Amino acid sequence: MNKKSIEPLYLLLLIVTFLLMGISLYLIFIVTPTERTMGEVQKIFYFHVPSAWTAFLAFFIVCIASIVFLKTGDAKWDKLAGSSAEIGILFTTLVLITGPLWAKPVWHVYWTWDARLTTSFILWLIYIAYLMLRSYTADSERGARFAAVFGIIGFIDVPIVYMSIRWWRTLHPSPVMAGNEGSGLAPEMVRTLMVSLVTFTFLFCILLMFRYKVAMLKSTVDYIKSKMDS
Amino acid sequence: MGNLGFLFTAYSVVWVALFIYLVSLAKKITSLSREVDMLKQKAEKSE
Repeated sequence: MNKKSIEPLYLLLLIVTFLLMGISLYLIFIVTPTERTMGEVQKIFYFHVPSAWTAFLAFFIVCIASIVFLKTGDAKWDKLAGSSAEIGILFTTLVLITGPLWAKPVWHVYWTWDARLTTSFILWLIYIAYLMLRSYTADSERGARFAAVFGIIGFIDVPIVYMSIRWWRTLHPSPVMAGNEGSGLAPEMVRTLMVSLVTFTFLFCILLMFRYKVAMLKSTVDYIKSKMDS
Repeated sequence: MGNLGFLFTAYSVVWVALFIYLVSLAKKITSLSREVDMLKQKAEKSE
């Protein structure tokens, strides 16, 4: 994709994302009813869950890109993995901030070491370590391979985080979708959640495109500098 | 802090974090694009 063809795509994605964000906020605060037990604070759910979904998607891309990098040796996949990991950490951080803000008025504590919260925190630490590994071994083929292996192994925690509320008794609420009998959301809440999920997916695409472009430009700068030095 | 306070704080944190990250990426793209152009010109002159 050349420079001229990618800019209208950025613009289009930005416009669509801003429109979707507006629709999401309208649905969250105007249309969707307030939850009976928790009250207004339950509306954090519509940003908390999509943030977690986006983080999972980002780490899934890290895993796939790392596998392709190990197979092909093409540095573009390594850059894609690194870019996606950074965004995944951003969204995991948002999950770890919005979660306690929701927990405090409902559970009366900001944090508790239950299975869902602990595995989410471990996920955050894994990818922080992944980025640290990348930065300490910058521009090294071997370092990139180590990071790729780490990125693939680290992804094992994602299904554990997802399944933790099914496998263990936790303070965290049971799954509201695809959960046990009796669990579930009102149709208006499901619709709002779906719109929020789509919005955050678009947002993720934009951030990934921007971050990947930064990685490519950095490597171009390094390449030209090395050519000039030699 | 009441229910609305927690709600407001959570949404503010998300918006501010995403905005700062997006702006920082846009700034990096601009400065790196400039650097690439400058280095290319420098390389052309030296050839």
